[in-house]
Amino acid sequence: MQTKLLAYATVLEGSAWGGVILASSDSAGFVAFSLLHAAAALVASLALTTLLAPGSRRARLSLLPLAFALLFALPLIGIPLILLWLLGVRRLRARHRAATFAEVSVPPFDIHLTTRPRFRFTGAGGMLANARVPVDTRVGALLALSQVPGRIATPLLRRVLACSNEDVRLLAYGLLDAQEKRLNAAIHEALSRYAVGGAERLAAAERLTELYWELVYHGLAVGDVRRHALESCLAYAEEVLAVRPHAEMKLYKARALHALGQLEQAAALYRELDELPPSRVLPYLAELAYDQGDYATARQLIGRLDRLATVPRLAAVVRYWSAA
Amino acid sequence: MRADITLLLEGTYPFVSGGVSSWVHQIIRAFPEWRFHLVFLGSRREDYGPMRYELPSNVAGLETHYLFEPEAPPPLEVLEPSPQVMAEVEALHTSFLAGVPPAQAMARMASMYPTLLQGDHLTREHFLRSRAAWETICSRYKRFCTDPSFVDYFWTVRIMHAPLWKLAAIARNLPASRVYHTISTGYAGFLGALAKAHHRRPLILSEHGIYTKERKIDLLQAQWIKDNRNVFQRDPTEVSYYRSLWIRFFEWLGRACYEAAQPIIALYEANRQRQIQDGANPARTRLIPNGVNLARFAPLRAQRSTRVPPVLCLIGRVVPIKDVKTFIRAMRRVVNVLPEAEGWIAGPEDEDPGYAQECRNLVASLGLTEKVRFLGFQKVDELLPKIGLTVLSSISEALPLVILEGYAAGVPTLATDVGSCRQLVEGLTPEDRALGPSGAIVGIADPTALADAALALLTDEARWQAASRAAIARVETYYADQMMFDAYRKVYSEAMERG
Repeated sequence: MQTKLLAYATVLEGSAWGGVILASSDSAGFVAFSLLHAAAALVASLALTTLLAPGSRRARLSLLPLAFALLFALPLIGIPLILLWLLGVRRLRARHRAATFAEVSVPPFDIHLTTRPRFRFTGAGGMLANARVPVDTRVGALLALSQVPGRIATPLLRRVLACSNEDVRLLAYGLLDAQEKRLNAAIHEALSRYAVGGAERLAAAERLTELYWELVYHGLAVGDVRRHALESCLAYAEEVLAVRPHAEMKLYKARALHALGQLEQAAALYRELDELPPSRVLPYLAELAYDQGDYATARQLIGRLDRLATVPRLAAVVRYWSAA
Repeated sequence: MRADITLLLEGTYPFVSGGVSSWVHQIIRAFPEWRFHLVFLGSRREDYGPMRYELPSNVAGLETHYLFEPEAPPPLEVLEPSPQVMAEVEALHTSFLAGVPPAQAMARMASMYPTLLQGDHLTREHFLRSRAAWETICSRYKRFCTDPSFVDYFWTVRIMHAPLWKLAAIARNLPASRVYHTISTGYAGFLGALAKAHHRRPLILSEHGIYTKERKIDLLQAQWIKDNRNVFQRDPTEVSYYRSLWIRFFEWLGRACYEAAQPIIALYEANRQRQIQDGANPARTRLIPNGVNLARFAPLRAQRSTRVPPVLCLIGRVVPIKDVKTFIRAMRRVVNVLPEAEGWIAGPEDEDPGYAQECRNLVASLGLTEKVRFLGFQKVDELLPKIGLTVLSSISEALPLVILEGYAAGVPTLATDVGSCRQLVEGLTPEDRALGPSGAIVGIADPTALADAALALLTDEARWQAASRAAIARVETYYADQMMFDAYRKVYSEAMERG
């Protein structure tokens, strides 16, 4: 195809130049030369564009006016230049054709990458659990977790404790230990104040209620230690309530009872908390109903919550339980 | 006085008790035919108490050096190193950057040893007080530091480099020795590399834990390292500049030691692989596990009562790496189920008094004051006949001697899945595994699993007896000290012949 077009172009160009040499230099001769030369340039340009790889339509359309302009503007050196270019392109194409393609294997299917991370706003859970993720990346994810609230970070860190890589495992341990250390130091300090007695004792008991609950809430206490923390929380809350009853302490007591599985007593206490806004008590009552298997009550209680007045995480729960 | 073997010891024997120190003591006593010289490297003098071991008679000398001891400032005077030396320093630091082959950096580092060791072309004062050093620090801060604080950069670089001149001076003044033997990488390992370069004698490395890894974990969690980036500059997944600077510093010290040492000894295979990963030449690595004196511990078996005592004993220093808190938490459950059970913590508390106090506070807050006892340092020979299980709740271990000592006395163990503990409990080879489990293995920081495994062993007499028999068979077959001594005799003899 290109050869034919180039042959036509050569004939046309030859005719144009033949006209210049043979004919006189009047205006009609110049017009005839220009027309033949333009036709030759156009045909040669078409020949050039066919050299481009099939399927590159946009590139051909871009090259056509450029090649035409060059060939038309440089009548004497245009053809040799293009021929040289053509030769170069052919050699390049031949070399390109001779090059062998490397086989690209299908990447291994990694099931961890398809599992939905539990911690959706960072995806850290999936990354930390994935042994294929480079150690440095996992270390980075762990460092990022140190900026995340304990309640969210703790279960993720605890899972990493079983990681086969020691660096990752030890760093996760260190982060967990740092959280625990902070709370245990505060507990010790409060216990010391509690032991002193007097006016300090009640304030210390209140603080201890909060701190033991924190241990549980952040998931730092597990197994029998969790039970001990809950029992301690309950005991200190009862001590405070016996002297100075107030809603906050009742809520701690109710949550401790709830977590210890004493559901009836917890429910009774939750219902006494009238002075607290419903958004603070209803979710626990609903959770308790859910734990008792009373899903209709759970739905009804959740339905009483104002969607707009809840935090985003709870909003999703409200949306789910409010659906028909 | 000339010594046959100079031991380079960082933060261990003879001032700190523990597994590594016990091992060093064992080795010195095993070779009375050779004279040992000891070099102890510490942080500051006040961090260490009196010697914990009576030095055997074949110890020819002990020298102590404290790398971070405050020093009186020298008189101010203008000192300038030659531009050529500073260019070499600059080139060396550039070769530590990412993308440069480690072999090239190691070659440059080795080429700097003579300059460092000669002590006149590039002195500590040149580094601390010259204009050329100041300009180098400024220039590198501008080019590489991603933290906005120059003050922190300046002091980090100074504190990081200053001990190197102390190590060079120690290396220069070491007494003549046929062999140098370092028991870790880090500063002691770098001292070994310098000693080898200066005295042209072989260097042996025995690593119990992996120093570089342990420093890396410490540094990733360290509170004293600054990160001055604001919330917009900081990427929470990124290790801060100063932290990564310190980590790389210890990695290169480790590489320098691996480059100089032959052989490079690990206690078990996973650690040998880690050494290779950190730059050790695989051909120079070798495994020599720990061993215990069977003749010393075997008679203790006869001292045991017929009933398994419901006593769990953590024998070890009260330090964070032993995770004593998990043991205490596990005791909460053990006591709930088996009220007559007791937990003993037998080990010195002076290495990290703050942590020891936290452990005591935890015992109080869990209401275990009557059940968990802190015994302080104890003679294991007196302790082992009275306990039902040795417990290691550690987050990191190598090949713990305390497990082997318990085995030799017929006491099974309960350990976390760290270091070679699984190998010690379940066996390594098929023949070893056929002996049966000599205790149980649980995950780290899992008090419930630790308690349940302890209860399963302590409340099932037949199971405990089977574990005890397996423990005795395993230690007698694979971990007798004589095997370890034979291996080290060969290592020392080969090195002495080579040197």
